[in-house]
Amino acid sequence: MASKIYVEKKFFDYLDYKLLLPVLLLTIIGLISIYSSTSTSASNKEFQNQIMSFGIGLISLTFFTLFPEKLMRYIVVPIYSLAILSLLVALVFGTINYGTKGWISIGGKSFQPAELAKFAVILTSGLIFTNLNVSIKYLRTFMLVIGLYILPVILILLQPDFGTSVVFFAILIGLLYWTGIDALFLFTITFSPVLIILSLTGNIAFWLGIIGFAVSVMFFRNKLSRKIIVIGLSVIISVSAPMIYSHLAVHQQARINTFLSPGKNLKDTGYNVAQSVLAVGSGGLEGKGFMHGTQTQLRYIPMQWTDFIYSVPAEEFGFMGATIVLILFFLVLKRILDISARTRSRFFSVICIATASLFLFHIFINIGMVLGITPVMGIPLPFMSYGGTSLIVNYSLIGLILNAYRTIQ
Amino acid sequence: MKRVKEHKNFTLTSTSSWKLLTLILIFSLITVVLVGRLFIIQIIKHSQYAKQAQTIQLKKVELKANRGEILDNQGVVLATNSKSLIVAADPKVIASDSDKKKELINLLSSITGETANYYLKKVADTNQRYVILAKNINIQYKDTLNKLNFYGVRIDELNERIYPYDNLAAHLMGFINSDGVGISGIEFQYDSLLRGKSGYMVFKRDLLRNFHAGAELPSVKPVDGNNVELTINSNLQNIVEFELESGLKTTQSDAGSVIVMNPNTGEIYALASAPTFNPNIISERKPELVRNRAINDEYEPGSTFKLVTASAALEEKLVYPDQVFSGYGGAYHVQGSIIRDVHNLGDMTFRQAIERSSNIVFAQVAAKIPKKTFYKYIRDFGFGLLTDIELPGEARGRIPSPDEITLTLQRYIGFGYGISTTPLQILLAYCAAANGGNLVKPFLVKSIFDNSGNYIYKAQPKKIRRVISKETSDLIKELFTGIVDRGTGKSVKIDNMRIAGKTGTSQQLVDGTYSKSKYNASFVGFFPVENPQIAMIIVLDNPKGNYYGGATAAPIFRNIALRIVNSSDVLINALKK
Repeated sequence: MASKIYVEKKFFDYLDYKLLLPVLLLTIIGLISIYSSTSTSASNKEFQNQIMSFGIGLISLTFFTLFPEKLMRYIVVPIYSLAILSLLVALVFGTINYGTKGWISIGGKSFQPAELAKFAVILTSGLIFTNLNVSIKYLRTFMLVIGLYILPVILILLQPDFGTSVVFFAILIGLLYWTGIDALFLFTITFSPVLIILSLTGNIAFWLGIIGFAVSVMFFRNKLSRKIIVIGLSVIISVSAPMIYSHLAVHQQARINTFLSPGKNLKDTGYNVAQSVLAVGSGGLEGKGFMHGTQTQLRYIPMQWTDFIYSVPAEEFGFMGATIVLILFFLVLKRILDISARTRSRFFSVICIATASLFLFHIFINIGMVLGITPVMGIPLPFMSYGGTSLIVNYSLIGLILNAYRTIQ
Repeated sequence: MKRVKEHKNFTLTSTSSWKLLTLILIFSLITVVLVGRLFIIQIIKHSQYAKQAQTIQLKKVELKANRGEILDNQGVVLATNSKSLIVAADPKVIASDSDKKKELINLLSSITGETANYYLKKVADTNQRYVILAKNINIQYKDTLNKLNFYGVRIDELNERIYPYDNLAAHLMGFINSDGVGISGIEFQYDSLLRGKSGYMVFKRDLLRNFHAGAELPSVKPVDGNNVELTINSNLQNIVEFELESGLKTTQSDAGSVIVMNPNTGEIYALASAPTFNPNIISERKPELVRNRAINDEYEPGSTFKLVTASAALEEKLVYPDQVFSGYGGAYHVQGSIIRDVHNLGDMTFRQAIERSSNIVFAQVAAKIPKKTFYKYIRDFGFGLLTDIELPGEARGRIPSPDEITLTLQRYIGFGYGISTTPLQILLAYCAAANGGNLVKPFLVKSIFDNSGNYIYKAQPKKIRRVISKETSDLIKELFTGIVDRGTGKSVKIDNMRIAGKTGTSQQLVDGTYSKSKYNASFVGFFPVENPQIAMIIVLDNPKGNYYGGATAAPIFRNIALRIVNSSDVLINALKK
């Protein structure tokens, strides 16, 4: 009986439409937005490129959906190695786009190794936890995981691309959380960046933050001595941040200022944020209509089709369109979590959580940036931003999650 | 629970259900934050952002109306507009795109003929932010240049008022200032009609400051100004200006003016004032050059005014042509004043007094006319009143009121002292004598029409009033023809053409007393006497040497008259009648 059922079920029956459908819709909205923000009567090069990447993404998705879990170990290490190698190649031979040396050009097409590295660390994390004897509570495993993440982060910081390196931190937090790291440790590494930022802005919020942090730490079930060490270290680090800041070069300080208060600095990135908020705000409830967004059509937002793509649907389809995009993203994340809860495979479980962390961070930071509430980090919006490597990698991740869903059935 | 242990699944251990819940909570929270932010900027602050976007994106551009042209009575364009392009660049910005820079420079050098190096030198200094590369580029290259679409390059359209014949009729044209407002001449007088109405167009402006038209955006088309057609004949004007200029040189006069007009209709065919200026050259627009002496200057007319005295006395039948008057030996002592003739003319008839221009006889004749009657005639001939010619700043002239007129003053007025007039006013008095006794309104503007050819104004000759009877007019014509035939105006005589005219020489008033060295010399007349078609006045300011009108102004009159006689079909037709 069982064998008969297996024979009758076909590829499409294993597909999780609840995940795939919103992903496809987001991609289509992304394509429409790219078309609207780039096409001229003379060319629509970006749109065509993205369609091509979409095609490759679908092939990649199919590949990772069908790839047997047992054989994963054989491709994970080569993929990670390839990612590290290509990051090194980018540093040496890479081309500079938008001020970072993060691209490799092959035959007129450029390729972003950092995107591949995201995929590689997620796959590798999954592989590490496939082994039942592994636990993050062992120092050896913890060090292995940290090393795994540190390596690409260093190479990316050298490009230098601070924003992308933070993404790895976000994935790591999700991973540590899920695999059961000590809660106090997780809490501390999550909130120290917040404390540092508060310290740099240097007002009463910092002292409130420190007090809040210290009180929160007391609720953890760790030894009191550990708690005191944690609080002491955090205070020292965050208080010393402004001192380090004052010793930085002027242009580095300026970069930090823009990072901390997007929209204040009306040149460069701050200009982009101001224009994108204007685009979103002027979109109103129903939007100005496809190809009728004035901010978009008059090209007021430089490079809108990459990091500021969300402003296109927000301007042209208004609050309704922008909210639909957010809902679609929520559905994707919710579905990934559902699958992560249902899969019996530790490999896929880790993959799902890491992917969800990746997407969540990208979505929050990117859309927040377009709306002027999060720092400008230069990270793309999944499925929508122009960029082939990113789209293909995201589709590969979705492929892995569909693979997880397939194994549940 | 057994299955959970089997797989050691992270998710299904006892602690992981709240982990999952926490994650979903974080996801939801972030979604809510983002939707909330969307709601604030898209719904609550929408109108504020929409307004702000509009001020950035929309740009209202004025569409300037073309100023109307000024033409002569043959359609020759005397004032028009020339559109040209100015190309300027920001060397620092254009240095960043060497391909386009090369393209721009090649294009410019192909248009202007300058070498590429010439332009390269101009944009070499990248510290400068604004360099004019080329001026006066033909408007036909506008699209070609705009197609470059090169950020950092400005292509401005310059609309200039051009007077193609430079000095020709400069005092009539006047000029406009840099804001396009008429400052003098017809440009001033008809400014509102010439100027037209500018429109506007709202453009969408993109980040690179390129403008895009949008059908949905409001726009108002400009209405071009109206064209003004003058009664001036530019050929004649040219002749008049040439003759005036050369007359000024031979007589060494400071200034002068000439008016040529039709005595029947009031059309002015030519009106010149010297010294003159070129309205195309801003530095030449000096007040002393721009002043139109034919209508803006007052002078004491002297003997030319005797026409008025003669007309009044003849009309009132107080005198007849063959009446004999005493010449008082050249010096007439009366009531404590001495009136002199040029030399002792002896006793003579009134006719001879006119031909010889005797001040003594005219003083006697003037004294015969009742004060109020004399005043009435002076007024009726238009003295002391604006002629309402279509030019700014016309002088009114000054005549004493009846209460101020004493018998002595009356004698002086009789030969043209004690009053002041403009050259145009004197000419109009002669026109009245020429046309059978009517004062006509002089005019310069023949018609005004818009660009579609619709006339909004057409001048009609206008008789203001009858001043003297037809009979008196004929008599005056006859008497004044004698001046040219036998008298002081002999130098004007042209074979086979009967000309009536009068010389005039008057001492200038300098600081309230009559100067012994500064004179105004003039000649005014009309022809052909049988059917007068042309009336003309020449006034010279301070001629040197032989300053008499008959020697200075009369030859200019003759030269111009000769050119008219030799070229005018109008005159030939008039003579046949």
